[in-house]
Formats: sequence, C-alpha cells, structure tokens
Amino acid sequence: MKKYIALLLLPLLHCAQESQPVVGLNDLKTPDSPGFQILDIAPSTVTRPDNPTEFAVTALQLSENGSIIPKNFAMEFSPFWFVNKNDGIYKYYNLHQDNNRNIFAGVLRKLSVSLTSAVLDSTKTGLPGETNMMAFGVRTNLITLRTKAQSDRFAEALENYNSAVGTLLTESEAYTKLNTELVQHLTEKRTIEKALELGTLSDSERKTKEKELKKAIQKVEDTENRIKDFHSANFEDFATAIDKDPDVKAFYKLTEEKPAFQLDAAFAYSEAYPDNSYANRRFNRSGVWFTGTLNFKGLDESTNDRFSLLFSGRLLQDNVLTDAVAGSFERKSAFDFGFKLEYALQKLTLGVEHISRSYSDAESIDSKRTVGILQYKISDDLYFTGTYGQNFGPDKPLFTLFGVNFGFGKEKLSTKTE
Amino acid sequence: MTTTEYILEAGSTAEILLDVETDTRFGVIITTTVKMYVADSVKSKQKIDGSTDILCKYKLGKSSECENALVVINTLLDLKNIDSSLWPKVFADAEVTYKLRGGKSNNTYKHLDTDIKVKAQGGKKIQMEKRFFLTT
Repeated sequence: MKKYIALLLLPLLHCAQESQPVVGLNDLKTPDSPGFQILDIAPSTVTRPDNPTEFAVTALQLSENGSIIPKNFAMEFSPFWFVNKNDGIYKYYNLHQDNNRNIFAGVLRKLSVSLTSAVLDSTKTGLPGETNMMAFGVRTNLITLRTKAQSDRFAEALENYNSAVGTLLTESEAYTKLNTELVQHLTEKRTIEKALELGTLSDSERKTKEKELKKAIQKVEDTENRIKDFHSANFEDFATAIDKDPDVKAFYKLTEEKPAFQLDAAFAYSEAYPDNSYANRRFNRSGVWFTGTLNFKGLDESTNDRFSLLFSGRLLQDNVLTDAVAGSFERKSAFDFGFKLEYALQKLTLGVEHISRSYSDAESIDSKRTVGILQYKISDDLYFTGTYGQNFGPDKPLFTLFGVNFGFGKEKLSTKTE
Repeated sequence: MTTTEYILEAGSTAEILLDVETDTRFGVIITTTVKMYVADSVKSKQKIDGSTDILCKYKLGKSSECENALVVINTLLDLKNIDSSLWPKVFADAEVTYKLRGGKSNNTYKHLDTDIKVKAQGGKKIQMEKRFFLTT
C-alpha cells in the first residue's frame, strides 16, 4: 500500500517541481478522464473506456492564448486490478471456451476512478484571476457485445498464435540436442546414485562410483548452463521472430478489432477553487452520462480500418455564473446529447464530434461543441493527440488541445509519448 | 543443478499430472509448451492459458511411461497485446507455479524465477523455463 501511496504522490511532486519526470510510458492514451470531460477540456467528450489501466497519470498541456501551461493533471486507476491477479487472455477478452459469454463482464474490469485538477483562466467569464478546478470521476463499461463470428475468429487466431510460439520456443535442433544430452546425463547420474544407495559396494567400488557421480553431476550442470546460455543468446532473436510470425501478427491485429457494440457509463463531480483557495470553494458541475458505440468494418479488410459511431446523453447540474460583478452563481440543470463519428486507419484516427447542451430553464445560455479530433500512433508507446474546433460557451470559444498520457515505469518520458 | 528430480514409485501405474499456475493479470497471453524427453523420443504438448485459475493442466502419462523422462516446461508471458499502463515491476514479480502430482509422492514445487528476461521491443515478453527429471 505504501508503494501505491508513494506513486499517487509522485505526480503531485512532479507538478510542484516542474522537472522532467522519470516515468514510464507504457500507454499513452488521450486524457479523456471523466474529470476532464466534466470540465469540457478533454480532447473528446464522447468516449468509451479502453482496456483498463491499473494506475496511470495523465498530463495535459492545455494550449490557451498561445501559451502552454503544464498545470493540469489527472490520476486514474482501476480498483479491480489491484485485487484480481488471475485474468488470463480468455477472461480478459471475455472469451469463454464453452462460448458462454458474459456481456456484463466489463462492469468491474473496466471500472476506473479518476481525480483531476485543471487551472483555468477565469477572466474569460468576467471573473478575476485563475480558478483551480478539481473533479472526481468514475467510468465503466456496462455492456460489451461481440458477435459469435468475432469470438470464433479470435479463438482460432489465439490457437494459431499458441502453436506458432510453441514451435519457435522449443523446436530448434540445437535446443532439442541440448535437452537430449541432459536426459542422458541425468539418467547416468541416477544410475550411479542407485548403485550407491544399494549399499552392497566394496569401499574401492564405492569410491570409484562416487568419483563417477561427481563427473556425472558436473556434466549435468554443464549442460544446464549451456541451455541457459542458449536462451540468453537467442532470446532477442526469438522475440523478434515471434513478432514477425504471420500467425502471431494476425492475432495481434485481431486484438485491435472492436466489439460490435459497447455501452459505457460515467459520473463526475467537480468543484471550483478561485485563486486556488479552499475558502473560495464552490460547486462547479456534476453529471452522469451514457455512451453507446457501434463499430463497423472499414473499406479495406487488409488495412483493418473501421468506422465507429458513438451516441452520448449526459445529465448535468451546472453552477452557472449569473452576475460577473457580484460573482454570483445559480444551479441549473442541463442535458447534453451528441454523437461522434470516428474512422481509424492503422496508426491514424480521425473523428468529428458534435454535442448540443440545453438548459432546462435558461435557453439563452444553450450552446454547442463541435470539434475535430486527430490521433496518430507514432510508436507502440507514443501517441500524438490534437483537437480543434468550437467549445461550449456563449462566445463560441476556439478550442485547441494537445495531450499526452503516461504510466509509471522505468523508461524516461523523453523517449516516448502517445 | 537447476533441474528438479522427482522420485516415482518403481512399477507404479499412477498418473503424473502437471499444473501450471500464474498470478499474472491484464490478459497477458501465457503460452506453455511442455516437452518430455525420454531417451531418444520427444513428446510435446502445448497449451494457451484457459479460463480457470489453474492456467494449464497436463496429463504426462503413467509412472511407468515417465521413468527417466526429462519434462521441460517453457512458459512465455506475452504483453504485446496489452494497451494499458503496466508497470514493468508487476511483471518482474510475475510468479509461475509448476506443480507435479501423482506417482509415489505428492510433491509440489513452487518456482519463483528470479532471472526473468524482460524484453521491451515493440512489446514485452517474459520467458521462463522449468525442468523436472522423473526417476525411480
């Protein structure tokens, strides 16, 4: 537990020191935590949970007025993965070998809790200074539905993967020869031991056998060391060969295939701290929302491209500024409804998102958000995300954002990003 | 010696069973390949992790068929398909338990590999090998 607390504190220390972090970049997804979404500063408002993250820290660089202010952060973790330690590939992808799939399996597995902080410029709304926004969010996947054809394809690809890996791992002639030698030496050693155990040998015979036993043990150990050296010398080639194997590549490609349908839910609650002071604390906004996603095959099966259509409905309680001079606010209910169309082609994902926000008793402040989103996978651990368009608000503010997301590890931030 | 010797009861016809368990998570692909070398012949069995907590179960054969057999279990943990943030630490601690049952004794052998190879090149792979020599 101390380890986790230390990890929780690490990003805060980093923010305070504004130094180059030494953290891993195993997964760099867009910072779409519910906390950022409730504040309307996430790259995308209509999102679905991806595979869960045990613990991740998100850094968001918010471009405002031409400046980049690295004051924003989010922490997100999935409680299920702190407890559960046995979820192999079948459970993880909800592929039951008896074909008895549970479409609700993602409720706990994809449940994530997040804490977000973002410093926003209040002068745009007529208030002086900056306001620190703190938000708490929860999100999960309620339903994941794969077609039977998808599941069957996945299971078949997994079997092919297994066969390919097994062959590469143990079928080499040199490896077989080493193990055949080892079994001979072990048999010889055991034969000598049995002769000694009988206790019928004369002293001289026993001494001879003991010498033979020493030699046999040495042969066993030498061969074991050669096997160890074999693995050390060949592991890199082996790992490369696995990644290049056609069956393995086909399987990896299939893991990127999205389920036919997903239904996700999220809740977030936020408070505002003008001038970063606890005494000035006020309720900012809370909301609950549902997102349904339909995934379709793309135009060219060989490229594994796909289209996704997402619909989202969000109920909000918003603390709306009614008098900038007096600094007074009033709670209002609002309903967001929108869609997102996404096209993914290999490393590139393009999307357009439109959401309308309607207040129940204040139509004059209704607004819309329309943004284009681009994400490019530079490497397995490095993504670039950009969003451009019009955000919510009475002045139709321009919205530009570039974000990175990284997890803890041993690699340095300077080497990779998403 | 890194090979574990397992004493069988001479003449026994009891079956020898092998379980491979692991505490890993996040849907890491675990491929286990078991090879049994007896004199000049090699028997091979392969399995990917199943949907139970015991990831792989193997029936090696009757005691009489396993005498002087070297059982080599290769386990590969492949993290390539994982797009979540995984700490290398989690996998540096990955523990695979190999249990042999049957024959004369009901020995179990818990193997914590401290020399795990972690390769981060377009993904991460951890390979472990455990050897048992079955004798009488």
